[in-house]
Amino acid sequence: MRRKSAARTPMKCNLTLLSQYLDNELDFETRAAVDSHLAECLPCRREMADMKGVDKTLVGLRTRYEAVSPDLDRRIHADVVAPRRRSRMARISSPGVGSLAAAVLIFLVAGHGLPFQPSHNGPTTASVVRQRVAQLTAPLAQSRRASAILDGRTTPSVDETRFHLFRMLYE
Amino acid sequence: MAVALEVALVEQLRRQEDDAFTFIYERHKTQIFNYLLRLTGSRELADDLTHDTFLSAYEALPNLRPDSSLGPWLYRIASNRFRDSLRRKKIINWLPWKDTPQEHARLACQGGEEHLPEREAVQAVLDTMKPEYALCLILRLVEGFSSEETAKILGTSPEAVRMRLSRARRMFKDAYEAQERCENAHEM
Repeated sequence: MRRKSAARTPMKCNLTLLSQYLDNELDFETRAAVDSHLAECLPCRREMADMKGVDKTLVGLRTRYEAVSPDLDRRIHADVVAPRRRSRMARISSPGVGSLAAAVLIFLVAGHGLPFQPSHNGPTTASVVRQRVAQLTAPLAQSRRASAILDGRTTPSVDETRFHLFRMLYE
Repeated sequence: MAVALEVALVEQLRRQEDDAFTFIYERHKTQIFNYLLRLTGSRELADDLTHDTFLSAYEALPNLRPDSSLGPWLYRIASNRFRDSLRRKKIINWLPWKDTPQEHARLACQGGEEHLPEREAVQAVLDTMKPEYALCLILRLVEGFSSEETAKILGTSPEAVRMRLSRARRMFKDAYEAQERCENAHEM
């Protein structure tokens, strides 16, 4: 059946139109035609009631989610994340980089102590983390920038993206 | 998710950054796993297909278009992995309810005792339907995608989805009633 002529000529029984009616996918004119048809057609009213019953039954499944098994998490980590990190580490650990890293570590330990070592005078781990979080949140605290990001007028930086990711995951 | 954030995330994913992949996995794994669980009715199969889905997603990341929407993209991969598994005939015959009583009983129990009979029946009916109709029904009514989104996921037109959905509703109702008659006859 053609939709444009639906309101002018008597409608025949049409399963797809009934389904679209239920999904609110029809324009006003066609919806009115379906309403008129339903008022006169008992089989279609029954069909509509059945469809509503099916929807109610299946929509009920939405709230029932099972947790992913820890085994799947381990497999994903082993097959995707770990190989990627290993290859990255292999690239980083070239001879020159390794000796430079060792020299920096010796310098830090011998001359200044470990950077995150708890100390009454120096920064504690917690204060360093707080400082880092403050650095990350500072751009978002500026409402103009935050609204520009949320409206899609500007692209967030890598740090802003990471900050959002962690908030969305853990809050 | 904000559009700009999703765009930034897609950009990071295209560069195959670990943080972005881990985030995507953590955010979507439960949805994808449960989608596949409803399609297969088997926790083990759903586990394997979820694993394959994210592995395929990771491999396809460099080809991910900047304007892609991550959710439907992952559902498309999951649907394709499900179809592939059917083609390989590993699960071409969806196991009838009575062949896997322990697995289905366990699935039903995890939804809460009060929903046990209904959940059993729904899963059993979905198992008897043709895969393309079950896919359409689950994507539209359970996962809540629009006809347009479902069409993109299934690689077909929105009109085809609407037609398939209307038939799938009727098929589901008929199968549900047939099962009820069967159970009543069995009890008598």
